[in-house]
Parts: sequence; structure tokens; C-alpha cells
Amino acid sequence: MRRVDAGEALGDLTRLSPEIESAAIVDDSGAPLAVTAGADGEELARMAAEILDIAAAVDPARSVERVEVRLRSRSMFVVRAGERVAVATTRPEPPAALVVHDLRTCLTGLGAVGRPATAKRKRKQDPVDA
Amino acid sequence: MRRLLRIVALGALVAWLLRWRSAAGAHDVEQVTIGFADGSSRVLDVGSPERELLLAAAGGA
Repeated sequence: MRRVDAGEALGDLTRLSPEIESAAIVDDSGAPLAVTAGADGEELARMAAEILDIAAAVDPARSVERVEVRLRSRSMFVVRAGERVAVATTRPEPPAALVVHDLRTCLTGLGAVGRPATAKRKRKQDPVDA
Repeated sequence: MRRLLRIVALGALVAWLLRWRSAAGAHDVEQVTIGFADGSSRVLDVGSPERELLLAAAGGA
């Protein structure tokens, strides 16, 4: 069991998920804690907050844990765990369940809930990349 | 003249089919899913205001 910092967790995330093009980890105040190289952390944090706000209005009685927006040119994922939010953009039509799993693992590693963020898993070769 | 009209009509038909196919594909590709803390999830209906807002918000960067 080890606790990792946000930058390390994000590094593990991008190594595990080649479909992720940019990503950031945001704290509860909306400030980016870590961001992938070349990405605009402030912009990703702003978009994540906006997406979570809009999604919360869909069913105010329930707490939103994740939002997946699939566009023609790319997809965007926002996953919330406790006080932290992971946001990522990916290439079009990614394996959504795997991306969400990886984002959750990333946040779990930050919280030191008991699983290391670098947990490896076997994944099938994506047919798009084949 | 009749042959020319036939070619033009065929071209128009092909163009319409291509546009129709493109529009149908766009609806298949764009999708918004919200997952809740209770483990349930919901795919937003095409045309719902929240769906359009989320598509716009995610398309901004």
C-alpha cells in the first residue's frame, strides 16, 4: 500500500492508457494538481467543473460520479472520487470502461485507499490500433 | 439529352445517400453517459438540453 502524488498518478495513468491524449487531476477547489505534458490544466479543470455542474442538473437527487461525453473527434471523461476529480480527453471511440477504470485507479492511488495506482492489468489489443 | 438527365439524377441520388449516411453516423457517434454514485448510469436522449450542453462543454478545448 503506498500513496502516490498527483504527478506520479497521472504518469501511471498515461502509461496504462495510451488512448488518453490529455488529462488532469483537480482538487475540490477546482485547482489542477497535475496535468499531462502539453495540456492546459486550467482549461481542463474549468471544463470538468462545467461538465459536472450540468450533469448534476440531470438528476439533482443523485450524486454524479462520472460523465462520459463521446464526440466525433474525441471523447472526454470526468470521474469524481471524494474531493478529487480526474478529467481526460481521448482519441475517438476509446474503450470507455477501461478509461473510467484507469481514471478511478488513478484517484484511488491518490487517496491511498489500499490499492497502488500502478496496479497492472492485462488488456486486449484495441482493434482500432491493430 | 436524356442520357445527361439520367446521369444528373443518379449523381443527385448518390449525394443524398452520402449525406443521409453521414447524418446517421453522427447520431451514432455522439453520446453522453452519466454515472451516479449508486452505481446506476443514464444515457442522455438525443435532443435533451443537458445533452446538448454537455456536448458543447466537452467540445470546447
